[in-house]
Amino acid sequence: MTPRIDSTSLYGTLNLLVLSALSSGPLHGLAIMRQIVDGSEEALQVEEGALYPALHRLERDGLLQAEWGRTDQNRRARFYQLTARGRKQLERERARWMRHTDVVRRLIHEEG
Amino acid sequence: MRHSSSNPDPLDREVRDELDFHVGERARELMAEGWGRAEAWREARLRFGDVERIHRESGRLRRSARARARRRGKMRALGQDVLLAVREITRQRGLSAIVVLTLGLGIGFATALFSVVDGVLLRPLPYVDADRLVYLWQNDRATGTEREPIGSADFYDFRDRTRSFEGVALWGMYSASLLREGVEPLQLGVAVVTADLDRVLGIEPELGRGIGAEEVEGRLGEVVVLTHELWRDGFGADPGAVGTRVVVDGVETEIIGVLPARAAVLMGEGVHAWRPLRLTPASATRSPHAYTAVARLAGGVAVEHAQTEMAALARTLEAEVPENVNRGAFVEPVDRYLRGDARGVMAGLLGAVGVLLVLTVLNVTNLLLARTRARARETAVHTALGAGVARTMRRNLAATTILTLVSAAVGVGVAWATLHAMLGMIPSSLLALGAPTLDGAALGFSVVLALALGVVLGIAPVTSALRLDVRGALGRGRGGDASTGPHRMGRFLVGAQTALATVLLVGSGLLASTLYNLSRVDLGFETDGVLRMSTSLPDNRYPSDFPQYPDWPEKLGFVRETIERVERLPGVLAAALTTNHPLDPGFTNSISIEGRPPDPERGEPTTRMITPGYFEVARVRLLEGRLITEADDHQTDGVVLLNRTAAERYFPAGDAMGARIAFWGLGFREIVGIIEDERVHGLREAAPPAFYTSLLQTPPAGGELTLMVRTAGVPLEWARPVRDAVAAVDPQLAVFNVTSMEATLAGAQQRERFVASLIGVFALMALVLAATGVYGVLSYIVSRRRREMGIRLALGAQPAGLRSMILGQGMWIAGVGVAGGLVLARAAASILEGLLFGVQGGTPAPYALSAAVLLAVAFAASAVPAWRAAAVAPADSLRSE
Repeated sequence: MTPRIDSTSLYGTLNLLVLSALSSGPLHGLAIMRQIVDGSEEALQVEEGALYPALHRLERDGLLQAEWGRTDQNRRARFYQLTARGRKQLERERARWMRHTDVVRRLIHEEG
Repeated sequence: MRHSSSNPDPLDREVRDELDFHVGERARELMAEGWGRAEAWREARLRFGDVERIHRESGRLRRSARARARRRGKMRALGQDVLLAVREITRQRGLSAIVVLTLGLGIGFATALFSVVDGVLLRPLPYVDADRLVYLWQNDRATGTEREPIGSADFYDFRDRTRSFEGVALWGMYSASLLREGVEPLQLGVAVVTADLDRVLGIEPELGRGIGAEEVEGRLGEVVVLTHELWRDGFGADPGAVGTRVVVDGVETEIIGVLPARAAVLMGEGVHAWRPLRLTPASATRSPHAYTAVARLAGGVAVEHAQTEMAALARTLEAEVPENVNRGAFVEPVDRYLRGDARGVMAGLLGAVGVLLVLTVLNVTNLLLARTRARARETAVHTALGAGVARTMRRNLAATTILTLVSAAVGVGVAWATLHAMLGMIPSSLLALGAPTLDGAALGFSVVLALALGVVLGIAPVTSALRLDVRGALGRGRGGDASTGPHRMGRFLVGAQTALATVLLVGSGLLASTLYNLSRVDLGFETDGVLRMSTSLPDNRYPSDFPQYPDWPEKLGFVRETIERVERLPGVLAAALTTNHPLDPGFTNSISIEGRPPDPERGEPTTRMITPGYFEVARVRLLEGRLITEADDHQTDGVVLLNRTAAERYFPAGDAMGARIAFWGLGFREIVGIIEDERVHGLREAAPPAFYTSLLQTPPAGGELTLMVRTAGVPLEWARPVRDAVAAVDPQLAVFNVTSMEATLAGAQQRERFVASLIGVFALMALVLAATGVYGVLSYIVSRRRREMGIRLALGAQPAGLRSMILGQGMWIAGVGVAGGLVLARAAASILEGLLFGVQGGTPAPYALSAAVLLAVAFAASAVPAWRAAAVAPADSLRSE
């Protein structure tokens, strides 16, 4: 059973995943979700709606900016992209996560 | 913007759309995989989660984001406004400087006067529910006095035979010396109080304990409670002072506590400590009337009711007790007694400040109007293009608020300087209630005032600019006639300000004259360089043994030795001891003249006991005969001197010399000399008749003596050596009231100086207002008639002609104002009559001088715009339209 990640647990992780998903260009909400799920080879499953409050919070805090646009099917959707602050925050979060997993990995190996 | 079902928030719609898109796409995907339509949608929604909850949360977040964005936008707009305002202010440096100066003076004076009012009136008395405290005076129908102290027996009647009061307490006053190891002796004003004074007043001692029943009974020995001020100034605010022992009036006494600040304010000035009043019903007497009673009104009792009850009690006592004949009662609220006089003055001051501030605002508005006028067209265009009234108003407000806040900073400096200058002139009776300082309240006042002024000044010009016909402004571009509407108001206003300035200048002139005339009065004695101090000889070491009179060796010895020691000090030209210094009227005594029947019409002369050096110290002139010398002592025949008024009054035939007079029930003494009058009642009143005897022949029964020393320089520099000399004679004596005769003289003119300084301050302000007013109005005229001036110059008019036209306008306004002001001043001068000396309300010189000053100032203020008018290049003015 793949572990469920909802908006209340691993909240910080979700932010990092979203920021990371947007690192290569603007996407609408569904596409972001697909990136996260696909990218994890379905190891993570996010409650789909939980994404949106996270997106709106990031937008409110100035890490993302959004505008309405058209998909290739010409449907109206809201597209998000990283702001300069968002990009910096992404780098910081990546570095922190790397340090965190390094420590854990070392600890595990020592015990092992 | 409040959203509701009839006024939906577009954000809700957006969130709904966004979430719908997601769910819709998911459903489409599933349908593409072969799901049925209904199942696909259901599955999509299932995977999505609780749509409503997410919709709410997202909605909240997006609204929050929107609010943040709006705030940021506002801050940015405000920042822009401030920047623009600062640029505009610095661009018109001259005008801004004048505005800041005018406002700074206005705010500064207002703040200074606020401090005075706050210090004196607004600071509450340090008692619980102070408005319930009343003095219980008696009054005397025979002599017509309104407030009399009472006898100690009266206190018990007041306390026990009335129902209007929750508590009644009593105190009396006397002067005592306080000695400590290694510290200079102090002379204190001591109040002896009954045990319940603390409770009646509602005060708690700051340290230690207060005077209670035990202390009054005397079971714990002699005790004293210090006032906060004495503890601070004389004991360095040392908490360890409580519990120590000192010697008060020769008796060992324990300091048991310290009173809270200003606790003794209801006793008047000069109370430094409290001691218990050893009073019991058995020891109480009807006379002397040496005590003051204070009471707290019982709950719900009005002063009038208490007065009625006390008056009835007084009548009862009159019938019961012969000493109380003609003595009525007067119940007076403590607050009213202490602050009554001040209230009228303060109200007047506040009113005057209010008027001045209103004039300042109108004046500055006028000044700013010239600038706003120039920008009026720009503003009109902006408004037409939709910039919005609010935005323009905000920009204006930013500009004026910055100006007023800067002015407030200037104003604080002005307030400080004004208070500093005025502090020396405020009567000490007002200062005793509270000293005005530039504290938080005053600074807060100036900030609030500045902000209020900023708002008023910001709104006024904008509203007047808006009244412009927008279309007219965009079209022809020429304003209306220069004498319409707001313009006429402006000129009238300046005229009024000029009139006000005239009135105040005349007042200042009259008072300055008065002070000058007072300074030239021949007092009959010279005060410069003279130091004085007083000391009190206690009975126990300086007995007054009446059978031995005048052979009182201790007192005579003190007098001789002190004079000797002080005269030996370097720089001392002469020294003398006296019972009264030259500005102390002293007591009067009846005299009998040998060989003449008593004549009550003569009146009583004032008694002055001196040592021979007095005439050199005070430089009193001898008219006839000789002065008293060392040779006249207690073993030789009695001699006496008269002053001129006494000689003329009692010996109109001129036969004073050699005549003999008697007083105090002693034998007759010979008049050996006549000296010039000393104006002991001060500068204004003529000298009373006086006689002088030598302390070496007639030592005083009372203990208080004043030492006067003529020094070769600044008197107070000799204070230390002279004190040491007195201490060398008797180390246990304290000296007090150490000051110079010049300071005493200045103190006698306190009222005149205070009023003079106040009017001077207001006159200065009014002058500035008048000057800036004239300048402002003329600038305004010039700016409005720019085009006309340009045309005139282009058509060959002489610049000088234009200049004189403007100058003429300015002088005309000022002239009318001055003329009106002179008339008003004559009327107002009658208010000052009581203070004037050597001038009348109608003396022409101050009027002429004030008119001249104002016209000169108006000329200067008119000159700048006049020159600017003629300097306008004709082409420029035409183009500016």
